[in-house]
Amino acid sequence: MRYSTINRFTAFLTLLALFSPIFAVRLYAEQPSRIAKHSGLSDNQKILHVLNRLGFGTKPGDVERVKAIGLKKFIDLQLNPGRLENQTLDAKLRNFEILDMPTSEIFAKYPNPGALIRMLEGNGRNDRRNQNNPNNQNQMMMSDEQSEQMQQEDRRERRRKILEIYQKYDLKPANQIMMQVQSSRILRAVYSERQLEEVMVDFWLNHFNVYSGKGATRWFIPSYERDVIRKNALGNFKDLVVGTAKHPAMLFYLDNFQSVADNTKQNETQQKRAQRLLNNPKTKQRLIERLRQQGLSDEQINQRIKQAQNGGNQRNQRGINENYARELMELHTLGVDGGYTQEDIKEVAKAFTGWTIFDSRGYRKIAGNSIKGTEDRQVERQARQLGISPNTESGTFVFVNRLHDNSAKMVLGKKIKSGGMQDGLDVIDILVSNPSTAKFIAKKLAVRFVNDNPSEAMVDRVANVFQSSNGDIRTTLRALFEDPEFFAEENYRAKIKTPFELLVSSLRVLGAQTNGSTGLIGMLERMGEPLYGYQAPTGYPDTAGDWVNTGALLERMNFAVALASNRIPQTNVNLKPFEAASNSKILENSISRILNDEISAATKSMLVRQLDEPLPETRLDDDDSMIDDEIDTDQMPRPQRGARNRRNALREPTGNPEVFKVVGLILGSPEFQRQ
Amino acid sequence: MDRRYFLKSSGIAMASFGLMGSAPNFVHQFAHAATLPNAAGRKKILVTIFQRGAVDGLNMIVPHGESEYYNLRRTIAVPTPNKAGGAVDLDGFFGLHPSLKPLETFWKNKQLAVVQSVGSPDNTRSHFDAQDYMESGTPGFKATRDGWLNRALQSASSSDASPFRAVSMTRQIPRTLMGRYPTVAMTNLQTFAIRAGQYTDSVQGGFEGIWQQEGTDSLGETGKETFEAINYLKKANPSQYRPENGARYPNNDLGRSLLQISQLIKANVGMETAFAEMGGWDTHRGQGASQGQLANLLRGFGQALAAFATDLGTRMDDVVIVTMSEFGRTAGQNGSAGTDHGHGNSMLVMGNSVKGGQVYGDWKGLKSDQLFQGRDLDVTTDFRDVLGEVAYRHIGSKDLNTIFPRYALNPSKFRGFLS
Repeated sequence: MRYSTINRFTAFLTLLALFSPIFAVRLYAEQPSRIAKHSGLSDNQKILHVLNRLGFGTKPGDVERVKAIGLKKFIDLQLNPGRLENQTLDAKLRNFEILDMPTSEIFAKYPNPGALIRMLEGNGRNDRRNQNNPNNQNQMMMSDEQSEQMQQEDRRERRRKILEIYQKYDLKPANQIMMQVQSSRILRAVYSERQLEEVMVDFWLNHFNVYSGKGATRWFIPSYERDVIRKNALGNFKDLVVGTAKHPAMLFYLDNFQSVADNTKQNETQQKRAQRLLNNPKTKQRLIERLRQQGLSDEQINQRIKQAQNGGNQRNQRGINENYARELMELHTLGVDGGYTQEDIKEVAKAFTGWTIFDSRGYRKIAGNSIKGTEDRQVERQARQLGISPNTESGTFVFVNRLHDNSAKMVLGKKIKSGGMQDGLDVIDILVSNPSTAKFIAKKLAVRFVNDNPSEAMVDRVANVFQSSNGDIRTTLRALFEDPEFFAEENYRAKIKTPFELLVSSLRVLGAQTNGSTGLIGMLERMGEPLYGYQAPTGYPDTAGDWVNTGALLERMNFAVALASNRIPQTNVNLKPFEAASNSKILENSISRILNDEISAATKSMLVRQLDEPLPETRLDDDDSMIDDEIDTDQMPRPQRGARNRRNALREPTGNPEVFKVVGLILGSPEFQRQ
Repeated sequence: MDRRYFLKSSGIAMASFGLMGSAPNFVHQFAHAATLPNAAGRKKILVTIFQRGAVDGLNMIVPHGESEYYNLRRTIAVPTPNKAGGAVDLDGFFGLHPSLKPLETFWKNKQLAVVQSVGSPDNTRSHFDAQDYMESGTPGFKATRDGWLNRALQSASSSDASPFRAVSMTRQIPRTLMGRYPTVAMTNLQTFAIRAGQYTDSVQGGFEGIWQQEGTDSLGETGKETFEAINYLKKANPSQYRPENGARYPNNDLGRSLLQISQLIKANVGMETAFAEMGGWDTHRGQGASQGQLANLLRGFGQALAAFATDLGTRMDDVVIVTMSEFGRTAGQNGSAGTDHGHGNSMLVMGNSVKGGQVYGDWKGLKSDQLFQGRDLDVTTDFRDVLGEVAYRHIGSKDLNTIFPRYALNPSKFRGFLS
């Protein structure tokens, strides 16, 4: 193991302290809280440690502010964020209307384009108009160019129609949902006074990960973050588990909304209905004719009829889906070695059957109900079939008893026989009170806040507090921050920042002004951490090895330079305070402001040499402002995977090159990657 | 940990660095390697291509010997080889879609094999889940953090280390390559660089100096590798690249990706695996038959593969390409002259070491009682058997249980397209 330069630096300080009474007084004179007793960190370092771990790094003047109110008081306030004013942030968030919208309203105003098209053109799979469209039938006879041209015309025509509707009903493209969500996350992390709350929002969003790229998930995310995660970030763990279990974002992402008891009444009634209809020869004949019109062969038609008689289209035939049950135990509560079996997974899955989403695509809400279509009536019929009120809000959680498996279940050796929705709630009770859960959550928190390999002893101490406080997050965190290991020297700057932490701490340390622009969102993506962009339910890893790779590191450096030279549109830094009469003074300023003077001698000497390197004369022909990304010319609103087509254009560098170069280098240095 | 390239290079990292454009070790080593084209231990390279959106396998590899195929696909079937716009016959029963004509030469030269009726044991018809399962290599299990190919590389115990060992020609590291084994994602060799406009050289020099100073933990090592990679690419001068043997890459994403992969292979940068992808295969409506939407996609696909193999020439001795797609499409056409999400599919395997000119896998048939759930081509070969064979026999990853946990894979399940 390498003995880090920072450690060498602090060791040097300690050594100095031993021999110098004056220094010792400075270091230990205040001796304010019980936390300090175990630590070899200076007061300044403790403050920095807290600002880095409980928050996203320092803003100019933060260290002094914390000093003024006292570190203990500062931590107290962070644990009770309701007492902190947040006007700067509130003003910044005013432009993001989506943050206050219920899901049904988002469905209406930012409609799912796929659903919109289906409403306009009917269901594509059974669309006779489309079948009769000469473009399709003649495609075989045409040359490639002709057919491609026809397709292009089709696409243009469709796009024109859709744009018309967007204008007529004042709709907004659905890809703006995630833009607003991501921008607001960045803004909160940068400007919120409630830094710990923001760190915990990040932590829990990652713990209860959902992926915006999966189907309709994005429409549920604003509510998910607001009504479940943020609301309970420092509250009780069980509320988080219940909240996520019931939330459409999780129900959709882990498929539980489709999980129904095997052989439910619904399947049976459908089957009976089909059989009754097909027993009527007239109806049967009409059906056959219609299928023929759709271009199906007699063989296919016979197949379809057989299928219907045997209980409907296989594609729609559903049963128990274990995905949520498995991840609930493996990732949300007990942990992978938490002591559950495959049998437990099955039983838990049964307990959550019938936990579903009403109108998960928001058909009812398309264009604020202005465009009435068959889908709309279908949704109403669906409500009646499920036995729920047709006035149920689109995109909300419903428990449907008809889809629920009401048999008794056995989970972790405990019998569950309440029946109905209580089955799932009973399961959650069993899981959150299990000691494996306490240990799993304690360890994850310790990895986040202390180091990548927290000691068993500390994890046990924190787990005990989690258990005895019945999963009270605030109490658990307090125990973690008061743990002797929290301020241990070896944990100082021992964590590698995630890309999000790097981005936010850079913006904070430079006192940047931003509106959370798409440029920043793109930078995060390039560095490897698009928000809501992790596909697997594990969420992003939280240890150094997973973040550090060649391409990602390069992008970190490119971000650092782009930020310092003001190249990111709608994000501005003012480096005036770094300026000075001499180059060496610029360097001193930068090291002091960004790294609090904690820099290795090697890096520093490198930077000194940099100062002597001549910079090129200003010229304008060397423009890389349009990097490698194609501009998205297709403005048609449609869901995109991630944000691949987002503009990544950079502006011309502005500011004093001597200054932004040094500042950029420091932000992209190994030192600033650590916290 | 085998990522410590620099440690093995005798502590040069500590010894010296130049400010501007320094890149001696890495470049020297590979410049040296380049002078010994037949040096022993030249690396085996695996190129994986993902067809995202579920390609219609039954029109890509056409079962023209199966009459049911023509019953099920009244307007979108590819005609038999003797007819206009007919399939390119492979073995009397299967044929290539006519758009894949450029691949015929490789079939005849026995460099191209087909595995049909291949797919996942999981019956999901969600693109998302099926891609996820195919890339993680663990169908039915979502919480697998890393990808099968990353695990395969971990177990292949490479003796030396280059920053280009695993390269993905994508914006982000794909699920297939996620994991501990170091991977680079890039879309463009030319922009894999420090970008600071007119200040680029100066800023790069500064960063390089700083990171050269950093210690030997993973952060420091990766920092150094980053600059080795940047500098190497600069010297290789990708903008000057000219494909060989008259190869002409199509102007599409896959063509661009494969062209750059070819550059990296020829530059001997120590690449062991490359990943590329192509989208647009979700042909629910109007997919066409010999011509049309799918035909256009397949043309781009086939041209890219053919150009790549042509360009590499004898270097294909070391290269195996394998293609995959998350699931196949319905055996019959739907009401919109397209196909919906199905089950079994086909995979292509190319390379000079491949026992090509042969279609592998058992064919069940397309009659309704032979179809999976009465509607889709059934799966008779697990996709992991195919990927496992490639990993085991081509790149030498012998630990199949690590590559595909929860699956009892052993060489007896291999289809035998590699020896």
